[in-house]
Amino acid sequence: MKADCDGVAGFFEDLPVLMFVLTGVFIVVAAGVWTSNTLEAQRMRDRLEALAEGLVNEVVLETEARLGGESFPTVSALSHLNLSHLAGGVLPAHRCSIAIIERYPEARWLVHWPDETPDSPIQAVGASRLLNAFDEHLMVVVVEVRAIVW
Amino acid sequence: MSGRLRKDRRGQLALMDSMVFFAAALAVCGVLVSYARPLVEPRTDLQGDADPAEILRVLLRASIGRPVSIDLEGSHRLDGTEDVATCIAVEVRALSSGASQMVFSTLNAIILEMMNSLCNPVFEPFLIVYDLHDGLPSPVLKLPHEEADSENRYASSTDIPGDDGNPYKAILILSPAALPEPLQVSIRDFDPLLCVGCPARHIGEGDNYHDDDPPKRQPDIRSDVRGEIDSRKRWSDDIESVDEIGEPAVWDTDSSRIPVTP
Repeated sequence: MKADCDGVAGFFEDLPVLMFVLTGVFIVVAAGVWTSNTLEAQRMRDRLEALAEGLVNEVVLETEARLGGESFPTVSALSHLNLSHLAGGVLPAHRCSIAIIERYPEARWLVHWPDETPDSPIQAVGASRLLNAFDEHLMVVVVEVRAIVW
Repeated sequence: MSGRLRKDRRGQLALMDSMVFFAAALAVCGVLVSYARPLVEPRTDLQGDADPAEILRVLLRASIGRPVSIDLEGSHRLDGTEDVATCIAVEVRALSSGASQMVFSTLNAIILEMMNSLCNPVFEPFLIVYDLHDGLPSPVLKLPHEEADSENRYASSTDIPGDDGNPYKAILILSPAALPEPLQVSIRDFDPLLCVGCPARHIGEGDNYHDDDPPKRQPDIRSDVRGEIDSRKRWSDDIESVDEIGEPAVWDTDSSRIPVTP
């Protein structure tokens, strides 16, 4: 369906044009959505990192507040920390898990909260800090305070 | 673009316009992807996982945990409550006096085990102690003996007061380790469920355990009682300096430049 020899006209000309336009629009929209989701995930990760760091700092500050003139806290005192109370700043917007673990000379759990196994998180971030503590034999051991927020 | 029949050349121009629009769309897409791509790529640097200052601080303050006998003139016995800084001070003084490092092999093995247990498994720790009081700083003690050969190393240093009053500088270097495949996971792939119930160094595949399967305590190393060292001596509470090495060729200190890999 041509009127002359100069070009394609009408419906047959519109099809490739429509294909280019639709494909271009789709690419831009897809890239925009992907970028938006990626940035949102990064913002969430930053927020979780800040929460995890803050949680670890709270545990450490609580530990230092109970030193009572000693150089280091005792393992017994660490084992009796009320971790659920310290986690109040994170809940209920997020879920978290806090653990205090002896790293040396033994590898053992001192205390962790919560007790139940958490559900599968989509995105989780952890933070930890190493501390010294006196054990039952007055040896200075190394413990780790670890928090995971999701 | 036209949906009608025409007798001019404008139909070709509509196709050209759509191609230009498509090219512009590709360019915008490229910009958006290049902007966000670094956020989703796996991390290649390990700086966030390395905290040599913290490890060095808790290492030097921690007790060695086991009794060790050191067979020197007027032999010493470490009952296990001495902190690592005190033990290192005793060792470097003896080494500076010409003692053999074999005498301290048990103590060095314990310190090395401590470093490995405190360090993130993606790193290999190296401890070097320099003698600062005699001209050019020279390494007195290296644990382990081989060099840290990686370019991306992280380090921290602190001064240790020696028993003889001479200053020593301890440097902890964390060098990325060659890991088996199961441990080469990105932090972004970190699954906290693996972490619940097992300490940090047991996250790797095949290396997990649970509360009902606790790790076995390291066997005690009993040694003969031959002497005694002051176990009450506490190393200074202050870590002097915290530094990171990006491309370390030399190590700057207040007094001199110490080669990291002498």
